[in-house]
Amino acid sequence: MFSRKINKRTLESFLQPLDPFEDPKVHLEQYQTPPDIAAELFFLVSMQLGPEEFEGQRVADFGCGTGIFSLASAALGAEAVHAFDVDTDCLAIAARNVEESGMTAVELIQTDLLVWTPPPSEKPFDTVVMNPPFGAQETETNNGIDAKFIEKAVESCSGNVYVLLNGKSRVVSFICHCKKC
Amino acid sequence: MRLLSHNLLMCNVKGCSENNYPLRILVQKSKIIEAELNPDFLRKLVTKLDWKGLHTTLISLDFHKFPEQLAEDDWKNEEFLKELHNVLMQTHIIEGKLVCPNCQREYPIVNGIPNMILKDSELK
Repeated sequence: MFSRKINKRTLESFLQPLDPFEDPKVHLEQYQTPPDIAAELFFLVSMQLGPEEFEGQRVADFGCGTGIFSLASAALGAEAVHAFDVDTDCLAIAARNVEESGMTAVELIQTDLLVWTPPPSEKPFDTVVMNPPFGAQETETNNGIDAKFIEKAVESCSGNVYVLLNGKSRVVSFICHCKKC
Repeated sequence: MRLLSHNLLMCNVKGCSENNYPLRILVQKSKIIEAELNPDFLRKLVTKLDWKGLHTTLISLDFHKFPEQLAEDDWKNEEFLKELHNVLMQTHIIEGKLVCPNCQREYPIVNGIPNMILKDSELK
């Protein structure tokens, strides 16, 4: 784990050498979040909302892919990071990235987030981060999938949900609605 | 997979809505990976857990020293902190199975990753 004074460049250079997707699957909308963008986003949140968004927190990464967001969360001091994805291949890459980075806080779970439900009592997560599938394929299962991911996050998170969204997505209005409740 | 993650998982097979949490654990291979103990963070983390589910699981794995309900005094007990930290944060189940107590559906744990993906026939 890094010291509290981690700067954006340190975060970026930590994320840079991580293994990317080997054979990204279009139907799962697997796109690599570039390390500089990931570092920018996490650093911004940390600076504007405070390091306590991640430090000592229980974080979830919905649709973790190769684990970039999870590892960024861990680098910012998360006590536990639960990384969820449906795909065996990218989870294998994420597992390698977690092992090589030495971030013991990160754990992987293979599940379909549309099916997964949080446990009965508490909302388990302090913070949720995600770069979800956007539903760009507009198939029956895929349509509005980003909204469904966000719904699931709001259902299971007591704090803030950070979503990297497609600008054309209809979900923007959904988030505004969430903030009111 | 640590018990920390196991605490998040239940059986979502269609029709399986009672007695589907927590899942039973069959451990085939496990190992201890040391992690730094931060008592404040650990205490905070526990408030996010389903303690009842965790306690049930600990009993089933033969860890009988943990209380059914946590009290203020527990957090001042160094022994308790170390043991909780060890079982929750340092014990990794590498190979094994998660089993639904209701429908007996088995979920494999491979290379420390639980696979909860259901077949189409198991969904709506």
